[in-house]
Amino acid sequence: MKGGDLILSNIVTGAAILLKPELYIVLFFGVWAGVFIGVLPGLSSTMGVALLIPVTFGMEPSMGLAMLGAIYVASTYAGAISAILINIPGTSASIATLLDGPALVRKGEATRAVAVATFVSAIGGILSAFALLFLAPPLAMFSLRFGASEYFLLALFGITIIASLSEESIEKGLIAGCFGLLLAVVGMHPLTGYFRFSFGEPYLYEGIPVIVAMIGLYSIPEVIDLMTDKKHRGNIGDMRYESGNPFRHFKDLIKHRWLVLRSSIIGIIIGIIPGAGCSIGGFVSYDFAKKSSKHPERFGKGAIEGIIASETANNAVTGGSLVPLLTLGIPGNAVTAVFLGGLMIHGLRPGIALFEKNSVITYGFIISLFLSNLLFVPVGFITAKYGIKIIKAPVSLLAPLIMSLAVIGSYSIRSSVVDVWLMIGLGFIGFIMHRCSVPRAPMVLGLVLGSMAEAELARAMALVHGSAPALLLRFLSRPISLILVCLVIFSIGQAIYRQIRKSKEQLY
Amino acid sequence: MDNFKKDLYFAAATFVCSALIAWQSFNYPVRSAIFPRSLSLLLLGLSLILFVRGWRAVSKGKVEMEGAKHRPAIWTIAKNPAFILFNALVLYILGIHYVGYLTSTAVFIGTTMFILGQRNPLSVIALTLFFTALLYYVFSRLLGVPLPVGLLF
Repeated sequence: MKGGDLILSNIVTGAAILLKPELYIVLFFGVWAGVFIGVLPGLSSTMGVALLIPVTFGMEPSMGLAMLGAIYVASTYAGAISAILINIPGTSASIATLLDGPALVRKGEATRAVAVATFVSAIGGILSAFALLFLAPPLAMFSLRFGASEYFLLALFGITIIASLSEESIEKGLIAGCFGLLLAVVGMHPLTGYFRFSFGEPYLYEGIPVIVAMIGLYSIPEVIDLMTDKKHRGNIGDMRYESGNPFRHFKDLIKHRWLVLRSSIIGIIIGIIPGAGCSIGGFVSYDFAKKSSKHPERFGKGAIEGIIASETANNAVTGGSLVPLLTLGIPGNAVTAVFLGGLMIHGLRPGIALFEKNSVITYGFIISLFLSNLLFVPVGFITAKYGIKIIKAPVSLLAPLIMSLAVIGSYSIRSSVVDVWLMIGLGFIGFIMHRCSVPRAPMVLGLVLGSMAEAELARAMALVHGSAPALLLRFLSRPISLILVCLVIFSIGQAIYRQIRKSKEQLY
Repeated sequence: MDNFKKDLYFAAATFVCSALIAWQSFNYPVRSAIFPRSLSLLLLGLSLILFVRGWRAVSKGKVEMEGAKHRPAIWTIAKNPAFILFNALVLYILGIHYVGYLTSTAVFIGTTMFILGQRNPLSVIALTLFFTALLYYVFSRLLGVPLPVGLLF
C-alpha cells in the first residue's frame, strides 16, 4: 500500500472511535476540566494533565489519551478568558493576549474579545490537528534539524520581540526583558551545574517557575487596582457581556482569515520545535501580526488582530507539540513531557511504530483532538458568560478570593511556601512596574526564553570550542540558522527604525 | 506622581539592582557568570539612558521637581491599598506556618472582606466558610494538592 493510501486507511480505522459513546463522555469531562484549569490563574495545563493521568489508568488507551488531549487543548484556550476579563492570564499560553484583550474590554467589547479568542483557538487547534494527522513524519524530520545554534537564535529572535512589545518606551521594555532574563538565571547553570542567586535556598536550585512569576506580576497589581478604584471598577465596571449571539463576531475571522491561517502555521512550526512552548508561539505570532499590519499603532490598545494572532498560534502549538512526541518520543513542551508518561502508562511507545502497530489508538486520539477543539467553544462561552457575573461581585469579595487563589495556585506548583513568597516578591515588583508604566509582558517573555538562550548559547559555544568567529560561521552556514539570523536582524532593524521615526515625530 | 519623576526613580532603582547583581556575579566562576554579568551591565546602561531622558525632561521644564512637598500622614499610608494588601499577604503566609492553610485562609478572607467594607457579620462568616471550603475541596480533594500544615495545627 502506498504511503498516502496507508495514512487514509489508518484514518478510517481510527475514526471508529467516533462510534463509541464513551468517547463523548470522556471528552465532555476533559473539556470541562481543561477549561476550569485554564481559567483559574495558578493552575497550568501541565498540572492539569499530570493530576488527571491517574484518572485514565482504568480506561482504554484511546479513551485515556482522548481525555488528556481534551484537557490540554481546552486549558490552553481557557487561559484567554481570564486574561481578557480580569487581566490575569489563566495559563502562560495567554500572556500575549493580555496586550490587547483587557483593552478591548475597556472599550466595551468583552463579548467580541472572548468570542473571537474562542473561535480562533478552535481553528488553530483544528489546523494543527490536521498537520499532526497528515504531516507528522516530515514535520518530525524538520524538528530534528534544530540544534544548539538554531535554538539560541530562536531564543534571540524571541528576545528581539521584547523591543516591539514596548513601543511606548523601548528602554523600559528592554529593562523589563533583561530583568526577566536575569530571573531565568536563578538556579543551576545548564552546563557547569553551578548554582547562581539561590543563596542556599534549595527551592531556588531549580529556578523560578514561570507560573509563579506570572501570578505575582499580574494578580497583585490587578487586585490593588481593584481596591483603589472601588467606585468605578475600571476594567471590570465597563465590562458588558451581551446575552446576544456571540456567533455574530465570526465575521472578524472571515475578515482576518489570512491572519488566522498564518498564525496557525507559526504556531504549528513553533510547536514542533521541542522546548518552545505555547507562550513563545503566541508572542511570535503577535509580533508578526503587528509588523505586517497596516496599523501597527493599534496593537496594544485593543486591536482584535492581536487577539487573533496570539490565540490562534498558542492553540496551534498544541498539535505541533504532539508531532515530535508521537513520532520521536521527544516532548515538545512541559505538557507533552507529562503526556509521554501517560503514553507509557498505557503501554504505548512513541515512535514511527505508534503510527503503524498502534494506528487505531494513535489515529483515534488525533481524531478526538478535532472534537475537543470544537467542544470547548460552547463550554468557553458558558464559562465566560457566568464568569463575568462572578467578576462583577463587590471588591470586598473579589480581592480576597483572587489573592487566596493566587496563594494556593503558587503553592501547588511545587508544594512549597517559598513559591508563595516568590509570588509576593514578584507581585511587589509587578506593582512598581505597573505604577511606573513599565510593561510586564517583556519580563515574562525574558523569563520564558532566558534559560533556553543561555543553555543553547553555552552548548553552541562548546561545539565550536569557544571560538566566536567559528560560531558566527556556523550561524551563517546552516540554512535554518541563516533564516533565523535574517529574522533577528529584521526585527532589530524594525525596532530601531520605529524608535527613530518616533523621536523625529516628537521633535516636530 | 508625574511620569518623568517615576522614570527617574525607576531608573535609579534599576541602577542599584543591576549594580548589586553585577557585584554578586563576580562571586561566581567566569563560565557561570558571563550571562548574568552581561545582562547586568546592559541593565546599568539602559537605566542610565532612562535616567538621562527623565532628567532632560525635568530640566527642560516639563515637570517641576519640587521634592516631596506633601508627605502623606502615617494613617494615610496605612489606608493605602498596596500597603494593606502586602501586609495582609505577609501575615497570611506567616500564619500558615503556625496555624496551617485552612485557618489562615479563613482569617485572611474574613479580615480582608471586613477591611474592604463588608460589614454584615453573617455575610462575612458565611462567605468565608464557603470559599475556604471551596478552595479546600478543589485543591485538596479534586486536584490532590497536599495543603501546608502549621506548627500548632
